[in-house]
Amino acid sequence: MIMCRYSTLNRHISPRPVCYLLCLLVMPFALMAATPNGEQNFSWHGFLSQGYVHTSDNQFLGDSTDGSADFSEAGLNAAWNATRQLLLSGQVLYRRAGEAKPMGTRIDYAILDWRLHDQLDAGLGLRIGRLKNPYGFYSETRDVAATRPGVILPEGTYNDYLREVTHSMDSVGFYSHMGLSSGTFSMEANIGKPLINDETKRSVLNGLPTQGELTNERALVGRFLYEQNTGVWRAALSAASFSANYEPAAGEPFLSGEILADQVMLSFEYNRAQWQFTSEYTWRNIHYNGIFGNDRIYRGIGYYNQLTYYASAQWSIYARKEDVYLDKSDKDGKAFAAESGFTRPAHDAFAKDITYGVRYQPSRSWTLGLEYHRINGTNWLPRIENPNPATHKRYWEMLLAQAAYRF
Amino acid sequence: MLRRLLHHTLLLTLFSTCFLQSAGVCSEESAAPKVIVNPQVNTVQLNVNQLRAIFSLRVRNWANGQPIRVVVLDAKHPGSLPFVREILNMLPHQLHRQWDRVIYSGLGQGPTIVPDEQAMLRHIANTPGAIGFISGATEYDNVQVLDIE
Repeated sequence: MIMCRYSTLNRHISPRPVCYLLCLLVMPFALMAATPNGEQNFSWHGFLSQGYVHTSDNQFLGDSTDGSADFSEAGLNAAWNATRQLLLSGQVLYRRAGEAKPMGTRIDYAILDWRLHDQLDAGLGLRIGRLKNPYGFYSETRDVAATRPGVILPEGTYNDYLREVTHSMDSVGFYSHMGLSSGTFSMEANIGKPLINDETKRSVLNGLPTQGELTNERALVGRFLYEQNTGVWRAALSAASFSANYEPAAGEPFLSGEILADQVMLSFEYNRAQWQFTSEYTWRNIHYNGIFGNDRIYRGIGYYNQLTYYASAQWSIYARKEDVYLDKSDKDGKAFAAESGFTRPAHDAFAKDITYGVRYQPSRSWTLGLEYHRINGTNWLPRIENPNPATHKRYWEMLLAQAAYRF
Repeated sequence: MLRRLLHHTLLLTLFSTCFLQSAGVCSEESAAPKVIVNPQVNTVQLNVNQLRAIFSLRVRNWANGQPIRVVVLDAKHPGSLPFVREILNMLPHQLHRQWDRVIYSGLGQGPTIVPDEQAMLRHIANTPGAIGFISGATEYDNVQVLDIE
């Protein structure tokens, strides 16, 4: 219900037919849920967070060199078990992360879930609507601060040009899980049309100075996940494939063509006593077919390792090392700079980030975090906040603080 | 007098034995937490993996078609950790992560969180399909205790 109201208020993002359809579907059910009989089948939850960012150089999440509080997230969701097999759920998300798009309120997900098989040892079902994409360990709840491994996700591995593609999309999906004697195996896959906005387009086009259009965008995202029963370890293999046609604007020095982006991520987590080790490694290949006359391929890699120590149920500290490269055969970015006619600095092609953080969770509801970054490279700096490449400082530092509440 | 002394000594010995032995006669009184369900739930026995699937919110309905309602104690309650560690044999953050995924990516209903064991017993007794837990020493009524393999 709430999501319908918000979608009509929301003027930043044009509502899509699928959403209208789901609103119409959800409405009668939600009204029924308000009756005493249906009440216990209905639940709602939410989250809220506010961050503060200060950087030595470069702008991240607002005018951060002067200190920025332009980092807020809020969400409200509802889930309703309409019948034994049908679940309806939706979430409205408000997000402000500096100048980065999408800004404001939008429908994060709106799902019709049909559980085809539901046993204690195995289950499978189909989903339709705006779905959260299963990618890596953290993508599905990436806007809920308490579920992240720090104040922000590892930026190079997660907050990349394909953010929206690996986040949520209007799609159909399949999910399944199976209990084995030693653990649980699950598999999910979504296919559909990703939510592309100007910022995503700019990123997908790798900062290409063009007013051209992307058409016929489609994506396939899937994940295999195995989780050992007692939580000692879990591992996942995720893959996302995105493609779109590109049409340059009149008079531009580019040709019509196709963009193909494929990425694969391997995720691993190991827990022992109070220690947790997490590692995710991603490969991403972007093909620009025909756009520059010749075919151009970037073979990027990104990875991080994080060690967390849970000092108590409330306190934890962590250290993380993350590296990301636009092209693994050009780690120092020299070829990249030359290719751009030296309009882009070499350090736009990589970012190496060392993070130290502390987290305090006095209850399930509250999370307070403080994080310090030392960064070499500017690969994941948002272009919208740092439009002039000449100002990109190679070595910079960042301090982040965040308070988050959820229910 | 001597009798009294003997009595005291015996008590003291018993007490210290119980205090020192973790798996002694006395600790049986505060035995492992019990898994409880609403009496209408037909299931009488579950294995640990099935119990994990239920508390991780992966299953929606009991075999008889009744919706499963997971009830848990607030994480701060002293009865919460023994259940997660000894019965489910899971890590608390592992369990919470499963709930978060369900609640914040639209996969289903989160668990009902109750502040104490009295509220737990009331909730289980009054809610068809409810499943929860109490510590081994807690007296109970109007709920059914599940046999865990």
